[in-house]
Amino acid sequence: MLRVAVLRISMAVPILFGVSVIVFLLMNVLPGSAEASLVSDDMSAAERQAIRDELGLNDPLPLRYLHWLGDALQGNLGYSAQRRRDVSDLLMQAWGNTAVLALVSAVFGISLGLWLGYVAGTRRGTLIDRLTGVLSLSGLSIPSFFLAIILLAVFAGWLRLLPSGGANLDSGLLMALRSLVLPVLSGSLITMAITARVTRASIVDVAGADFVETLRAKGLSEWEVRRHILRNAISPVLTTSGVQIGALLGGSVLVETIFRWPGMGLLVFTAISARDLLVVQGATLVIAVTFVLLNLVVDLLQAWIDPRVRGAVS
Amino acid sequence: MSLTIETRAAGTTTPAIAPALRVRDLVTEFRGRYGAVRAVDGVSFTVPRGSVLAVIGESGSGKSAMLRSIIGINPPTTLVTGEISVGGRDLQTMSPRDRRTARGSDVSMVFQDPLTALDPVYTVEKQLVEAIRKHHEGLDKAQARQRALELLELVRIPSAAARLKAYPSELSGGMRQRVVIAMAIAGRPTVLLADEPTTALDVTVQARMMRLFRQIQRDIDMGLVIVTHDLGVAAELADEVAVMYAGRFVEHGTATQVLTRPSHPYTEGLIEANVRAGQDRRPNAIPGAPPSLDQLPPGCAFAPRCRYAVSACWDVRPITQLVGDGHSSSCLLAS
Ligand SMILES: Nc1ncnc2c1ncn2[C@@H]1O[C@H](COP(=O)(O)OP(=O)(O)OP(=O)(O)O)[C@@H](O)[C@H]1O
Ligand SMILES: [Mg+2]
Repeated sequence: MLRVAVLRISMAVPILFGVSVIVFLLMNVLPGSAEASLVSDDMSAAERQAIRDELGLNDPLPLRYLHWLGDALQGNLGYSAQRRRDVSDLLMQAWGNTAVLALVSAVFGISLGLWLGYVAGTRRGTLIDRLTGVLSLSGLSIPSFFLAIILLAVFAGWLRLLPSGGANLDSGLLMALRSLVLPVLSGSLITMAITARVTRASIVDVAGADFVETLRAKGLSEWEVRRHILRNAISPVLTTSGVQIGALLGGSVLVETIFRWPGMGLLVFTAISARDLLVVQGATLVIAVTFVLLNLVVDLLQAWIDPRVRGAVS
Repeated sequence: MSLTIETRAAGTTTPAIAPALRVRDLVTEFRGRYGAVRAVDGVSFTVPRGSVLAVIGESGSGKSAMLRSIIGINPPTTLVTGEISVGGRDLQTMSPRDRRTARGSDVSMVFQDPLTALDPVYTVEKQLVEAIRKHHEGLDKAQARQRALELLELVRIPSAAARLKAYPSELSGGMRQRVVIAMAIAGRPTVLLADEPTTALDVTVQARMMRLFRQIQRDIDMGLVIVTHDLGVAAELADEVAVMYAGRFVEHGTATQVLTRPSHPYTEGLIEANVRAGQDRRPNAIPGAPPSLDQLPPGCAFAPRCRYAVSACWDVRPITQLVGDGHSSSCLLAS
């Protein structure tokens, strides 16, 4: 297990390096590069040159990358002239808000999906199974923004039970929960649906395996047999959960925009509209790194749970 | 090596004379959307303690269905009727809970494919300990571990202590089958059912596995029902041999009677096919195919493939008759 961990972690390092190179190149090779936000049309050529020099934009590309990487590693991702704040400050705040929303959504969506999938998979063909099928199919086909708008109209507009937007995370648990309900519901429906489907399929698959007969022949009770089945079935669920959490941590632009949730999605959306490229670059980097690290955690969990995964690596 | 699995004390809870397994008029029907399939159709037999019954027959004749009915792990829609007594205890009239705990302690089963018979995500030790503690409630973890080790030694697994920590995928097929056997005898069963336990193993391992079955079965003094395609195995291992066709025992007697003086044309065909097949032990050389179970002919199920069939065979379902001392056959022409 330790060997697997070391191997997996050492594999993550070059991936992170690659991510940083790509993010850097995208922002520096694409038209409309970084100084565009500082330079205005009425500046003279000499003034522009001075700015470029000052920003180090005339250095060769590899050197500029190293500078950028060094700064980034120290938490310095530049200054957003539009927002008049350090990019890292903006990111930290947005990431925190998104993380709260993402984690609550993930816990809610994944546990509900897991439960539904488990119930459906172990009672295959029953009414509950079919209802779950309908529910998860709707979850996959109803767009989150549509659900968000409906929820807004009903709970905030019509019933006036819940706030229509904003993250109220600092004024007590109750307020925080109230502001979370609608974004979590709209953002986690798809997570719930995917988790339910994967869990059900995996459980049905494992329940048909030969070793389940051996377990029954040993005299185990139905609950004990199901514990074995669940343990075997959890691997694909873990993989999709990782992807789901990753997507949630990236911040849903639609959900965050509709509920005015000041997270990564909203930040990136406004930064792109405002051509605030340093923010876009920083956000891309943060989202990518989050994803890589999350994958690492999922891989390690997987190896810990399933000896066959461990064997395949070592 | 110390013999840690002591024989069941005779006469404590059940009379010593009760056979390991007694089956009367066993019928197994699989009920599906498109009607019922009668996979086992009125089978009766008795396996004394310390004795081996080999069941032979072509694919689809209902051998596995019969074993599954005896241990009680058919899908819930299956209808099983008849008497199934293990050591004098009738399993069919038990509460579902008792029926379940009878699995592993009264009756155990070893399956065909050792590669898929073990839970891949638990170590051998975990799986053995689980079975042991299921049937010996007084044991603590350490004692159960000790017992798991003894079981592995009993099935002659080399460096057993190291194997305990292994996952199934780290063991060879032969080793895995030994683990499966160890697990099956963990609860000191009165009767062990083995469904083609060596078919998935290679030939050299097969012989060793058969010897192991013989030894263990003597050690524990249990009854053994073994389904096999290998008549050599049946001859070597079994006290009695039953031949199954379309859900019925068409011939049943001592191994010598059935294998050297077959009375039923089907048995005759199996023996000839087995000789011809040589290494490839699947007896598949009888012309024609077994009948579909949902449209059995009114007469003898084997008549369409039988070289001796006369017109009466097509109309009259043959009854089972004695053709020798303890040797029975369901052929109209048997005498
Ligand atoms: N769960 C089930 N539902 C419906 N039919 C079944 C089921 N299990 C077995 N059968 C049918 O019962 C018949 C007997 O099957 P069984 O597996 O007992 O044969 P077998 O003698 O063990 O053959 P083999 O040598 O191939 O293992 C077959 O026709 C099979 O299709
Ligand atoms: Mg079979």
